[in-house]
Amino acid sequence: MNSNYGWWLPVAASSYAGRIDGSLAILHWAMVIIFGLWAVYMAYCLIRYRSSASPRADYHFTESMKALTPDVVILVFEVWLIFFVGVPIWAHIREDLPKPPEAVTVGVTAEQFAWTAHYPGADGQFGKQDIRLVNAGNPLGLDPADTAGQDDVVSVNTLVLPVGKRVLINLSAKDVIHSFFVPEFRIKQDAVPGMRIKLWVEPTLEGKFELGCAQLCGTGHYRMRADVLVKSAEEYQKWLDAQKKGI
Amino acid sequence: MERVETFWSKYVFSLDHKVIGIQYMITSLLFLLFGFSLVLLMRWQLAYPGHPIPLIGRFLPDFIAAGGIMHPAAYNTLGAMHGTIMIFLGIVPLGVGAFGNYILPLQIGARDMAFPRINMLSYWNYFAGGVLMLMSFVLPGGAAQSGWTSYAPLSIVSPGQTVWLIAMTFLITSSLLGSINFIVTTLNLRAPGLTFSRLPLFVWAQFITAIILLFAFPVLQAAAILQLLDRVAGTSFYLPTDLIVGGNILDNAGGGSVLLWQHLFFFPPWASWPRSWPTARASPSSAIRKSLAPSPSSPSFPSSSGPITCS
Repeated sequence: MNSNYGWWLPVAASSYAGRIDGSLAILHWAMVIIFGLWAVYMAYCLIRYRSSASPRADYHFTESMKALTPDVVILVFEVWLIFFVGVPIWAHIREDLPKPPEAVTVGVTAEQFAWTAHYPGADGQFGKQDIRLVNAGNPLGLDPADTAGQDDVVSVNTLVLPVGKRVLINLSAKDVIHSFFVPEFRIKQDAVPGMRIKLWVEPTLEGKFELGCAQLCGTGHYRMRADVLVKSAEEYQKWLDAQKKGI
Repeated sequence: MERVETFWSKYVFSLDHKVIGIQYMITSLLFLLFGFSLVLLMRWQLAYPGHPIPLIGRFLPDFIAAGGIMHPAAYNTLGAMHGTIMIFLGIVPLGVGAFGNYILPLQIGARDMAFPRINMLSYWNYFAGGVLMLMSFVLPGGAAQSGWTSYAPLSIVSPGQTVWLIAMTFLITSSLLGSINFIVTTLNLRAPGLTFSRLPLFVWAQFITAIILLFAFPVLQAAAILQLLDRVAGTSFYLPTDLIVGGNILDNAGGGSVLLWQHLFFFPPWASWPRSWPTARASPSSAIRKSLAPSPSSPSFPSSSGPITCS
């Protein structure tokens, strides 16, 4: 797993990871170019306005529009970067949510200090949950009397996803704020108690990735991590079938 | 000035802007040194995790470092207190309290600040808040360990945050008194002919900072008091319905909003540095609307498919 982390970005393992990396590349190349241009301009000014050739300082600035040119260029670039590069990517990730029958839907619930995945099972329906039923053996408080929940799969600290399929994740938290962070998917989203936040990912690479908590959540924050296993469709189904059903 | 100056009135409970500026400078530099040494301990832990802290490790109590090895909660405490001390007890008092008090009246040709007593009160509120922050290390429960941003609900269910909130109230009071003083001094005590377009840049910076503080800090103070009530009075301003902490249902939780704290805390514009932006990006307004709506009579766990939606 740790081989993914080196000098550069971790491997890009989701459908939109490439677009995010692309925007990062634009940003960094722009920084290189802007830094270079300003360095050249500073060198020019050092020579042009050296003490022996120095003109008198002019407090009545007449060419203010000319002096503003770099600012305008940067402003136009930034507006383009935000509204024509950033916002479409953001909208794609936040708003193009897959619809349930077509997509695999998984509930992910964060707590101090574990991640619990909840699969709806063959019927595609999540079982009823009740806070009063939560205990060590039933971390999500599934109601055993509810038929929809009898084929549900609950998996602690292991999130298994099929490769090449859009997955809808319903993210929530039981106690304090946590943050769902899988660097290889280029996704980070707070899990907020009292809210159910939808996010989606389409894994493009099979393998084992790390889901880490990215928001200080207490004494065990540093060890709050889960495995994300991306498997082929058949392997994924095999894994699901092998899990214990219901509570 | 007919006042008879004694040692106490001249150097301790002083009304002189220069002395108060120097008091601010000495105090904030000491706090900077202390905050800096906290981060040294964190760096040590990162460089040598699980090894005993050299020199001071053996003197630390067991709940901080048993056998000299740093406890995870102690690491979180160091992070929270380092951030708090550097920002609220170091940088802000140094920039505004020390340099502002000493230099601003000189640069505008005033004999002193507009309200010398408020100036003194501002320093002593700062001092009290700082002492309380330091004391929290040795009080039962220890110092704060929920980050310098004190995010609810973690800050409400973790030990150590009560004293932090009370100390913050003192610090904010100090800043508010100071900002009123700076605004009135700049507006009313400029030398004849010193128009706003001729003001030195430093005075402009202090003046604008004071206005921003005056707008922002009352919000933070109110937010901190609400969080204090959540901790000690059983209210649930920041606690949504159905919280389970460590397997136990939190009885007083219900109807509150977690994100409300973040919006109130990050209202102060100075805190809008990109590094300190809250990471939550999920439609906060709906959370607040929900917090105002009556909470459901039966518990509704934020389930995998439940009714609480937010996208």
